Amino acid sequence: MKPLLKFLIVALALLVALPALTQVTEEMASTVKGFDRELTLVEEALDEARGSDSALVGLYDRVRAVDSQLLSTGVALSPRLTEIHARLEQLGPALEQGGEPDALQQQRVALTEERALINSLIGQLEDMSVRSRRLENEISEARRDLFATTLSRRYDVTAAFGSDLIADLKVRTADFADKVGSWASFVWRFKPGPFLAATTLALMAAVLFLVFARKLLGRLIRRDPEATDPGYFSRLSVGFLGTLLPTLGLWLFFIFIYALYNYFSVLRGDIGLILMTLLLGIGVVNLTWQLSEAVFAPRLSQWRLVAVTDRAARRLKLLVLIMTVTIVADEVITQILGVVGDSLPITVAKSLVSSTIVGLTLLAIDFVRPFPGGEGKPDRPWPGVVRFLLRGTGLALIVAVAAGYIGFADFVSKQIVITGAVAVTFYIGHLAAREMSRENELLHSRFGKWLRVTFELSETAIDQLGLFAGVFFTFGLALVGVPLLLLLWGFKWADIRGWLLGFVNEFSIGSISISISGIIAGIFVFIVGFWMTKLIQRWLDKDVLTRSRIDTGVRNSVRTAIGYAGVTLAALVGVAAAGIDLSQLALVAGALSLGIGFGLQNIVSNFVSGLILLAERPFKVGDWIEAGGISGTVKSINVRATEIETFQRKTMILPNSELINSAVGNWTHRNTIGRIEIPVGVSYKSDPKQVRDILTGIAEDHPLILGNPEPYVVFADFGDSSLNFELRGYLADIGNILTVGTEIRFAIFERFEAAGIEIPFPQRDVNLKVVDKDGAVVAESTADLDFGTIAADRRARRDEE
Amino acid sequence: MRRHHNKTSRLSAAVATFLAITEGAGAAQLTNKDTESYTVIVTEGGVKNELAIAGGETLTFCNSGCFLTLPSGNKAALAGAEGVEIINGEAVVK
Repeated sequence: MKPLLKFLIVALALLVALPALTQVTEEMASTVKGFDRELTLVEEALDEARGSDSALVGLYDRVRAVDSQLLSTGVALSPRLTEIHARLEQLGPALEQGGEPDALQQQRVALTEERALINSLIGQLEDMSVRSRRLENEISEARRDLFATTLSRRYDVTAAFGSDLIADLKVRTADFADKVGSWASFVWRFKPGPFLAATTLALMAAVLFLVFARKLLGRLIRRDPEATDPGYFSRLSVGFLGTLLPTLGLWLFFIFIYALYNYFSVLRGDIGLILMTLLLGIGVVNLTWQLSEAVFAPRLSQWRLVAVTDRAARRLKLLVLIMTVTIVADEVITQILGVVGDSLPITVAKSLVSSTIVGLTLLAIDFVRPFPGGEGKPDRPWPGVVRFLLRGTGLALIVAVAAGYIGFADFVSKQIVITGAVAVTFYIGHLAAREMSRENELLHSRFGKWLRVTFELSETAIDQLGLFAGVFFTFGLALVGVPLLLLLWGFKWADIRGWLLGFVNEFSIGSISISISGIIAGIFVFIVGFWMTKLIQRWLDKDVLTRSRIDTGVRNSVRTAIGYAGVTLAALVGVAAAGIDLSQLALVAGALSLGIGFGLQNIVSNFVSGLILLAERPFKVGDWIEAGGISGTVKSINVRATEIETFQRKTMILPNSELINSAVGNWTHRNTIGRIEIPVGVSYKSDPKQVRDILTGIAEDHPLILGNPEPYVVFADFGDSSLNFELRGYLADIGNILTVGTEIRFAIFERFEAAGIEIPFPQRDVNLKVVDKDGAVVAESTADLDFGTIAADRRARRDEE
Repeated sequence: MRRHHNKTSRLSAAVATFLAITEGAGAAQLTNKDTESYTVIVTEGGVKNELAIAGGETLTFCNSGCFLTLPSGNKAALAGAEGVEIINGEAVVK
């Protein structure tokens, strides 16, 4: 039975799985062989490439390309190994006494062979990874060496300007003219149609783009010469768009023309290279022109982005252009030399001229006095550091050239121009960002007004948008600018990316290792948790608790409790996700608990009180309570304190512990019913029964006073001047106590007056006794005497009147 | 409140994207399930290293992918973040 089963399994496997899988393995084997060939090619090419940096970079990229695939190829192979391993286990070891079916044995042999093959492939890949690493190091070293020799190599300048130069120039010019001429005649003879078509098409595309762009955005990029003091944001956006549109148009033209020429195979390899360099060069010069026009605006000082004088703006623009043209020309000539054959005298002469021009231009920039000096004073020069740098590098360049260190001068001048261009561009970007975030700057710009109208944003929103945009822009600039500068300085993209990843993944300070991605992940988890808590809260509150008609106090408590629980949970998970060990936190908490016990006693007591308030619910949000000498409506019950709004609309924050430890009066605890009491005094002349009836009538007539419990009148006291009554009635909502009280008092006054019932003033009857020396009574005031009623009795006086 | 909510959700989207971009390969775990100790060869970044692992021990290694050679001569390539178990001298990649 057992052998038969095995046989069946194996037959099935042989039929279905094996051929396909071996095919995959074979494909992999050829891939591995390809890698090996590529590495060998690079190794062979290395010695020849040692003289040229670009060739070395090309080789390096090739090695990197192989290197990056080695591991993934190995990883793709590995699962097959596990499969084979599993299948071999299934098959079991070969039976010693034999008797196995042939197919089974073949299967085992095939599998073992395949395993050996895969093992050897992975081994090869492993070796190649070591090899490619060594190659990478070697190439990097070669580049370093080349760089060092280029910089330190000294040329004989005077010899370069000898007859060799003239002879070389003649030969190379003729060669170049020949090449261009032959290409032109080739085009003329064989491809006149495509050539013209491509040129016309590209031209049309560019012109169409420019016309449409001008039509659409023309108003935005026009710099109105009559405008007085446009805002910085307007200046910037106009400058930016004004640079962008023509540049885009030109680049579009270049890209089209190059692509179309290629498509119609009008170009030949060498001519294509030269054309590309030429187009790139013209593009760069044009970009610099537009950019410097936007920044310096020599003729329209109100549109200028930097605060320099008219004269300085003119000069700076010119000097910047001179430098750019010099560097571009240098590059184009280098490219042409690459095509027609290198020549040392020409290279030396070219670098000498370009470096000298750059050096002199730097000195000229140094002499420009850019800042206006104020009344009668001469214009102010650059700040000291800038002047020092300009003068130092300018002089160093000229000295280096004169001493024959052409390579050094060439390198420095190019780096200065390119780095300078990038740095200045980003600096202006930074200034723009700062201006953008300045108060109300965006608001007063055309864009801001457009935003306001289109999206109906408030002024504050736009101002905040400006601030946010400014900050965001600055960060973006740093994020783009720093790697760009590093790239220009010869760092490799892979290195920069590695640093960035390393920084993000994990970096350590001393023994503490911090992982930014971990922290970000933690924050992210926390935000998600927080957001989900809010979601659950809202869902529970809106859809479940409302429907179940639970009273608002419980609802509020449940919502708050869920909120705190959710946030705590999210925080804990977030901390865990950030890679912070919770047990360590517990340790810290344990150590701090004593301190917390003392220092945070109040906070903790308030916190616990808050929890008790949520559970016990002596009052809920909206209740009218009296506590700690405050009377008002509860606005919210928080974990540390409770917010109470008094009737004067003053918000009082009452610590929860006070609400727990001392008496709290709640007018609206179980219900909102409350009693209103209105005391009133009537004169002794009135009929108490009539008074009672009137008062009861008033209470019964009032719509807000409940019929049950009935309102009633209390005959409270025989007062000094009046009979004191008290009208008591119950209100469904105690919140109406003031309005109802007022209305009832009005009614009492009116009905008493109508019924002739008097509300008396305080009365005093004063009896005077006049006594002589012996103590005998001379006169005694009585009611019938003239002065029996004294003037102090105002009622009497009133009666007389 | 509404706007604030929008902002947070946009921020979280940005963070998610950022994480997706920067998510690098984690380290691999090598566990020796046997009692005897082995020496494995790890080639990472073009550098060969020998790694001794005692019976029952678990090691974290290979941060950005590596080649692994077991004492039996069998090999494996790891992208990182895998778990590898040595059972009877053979590697099982999880």
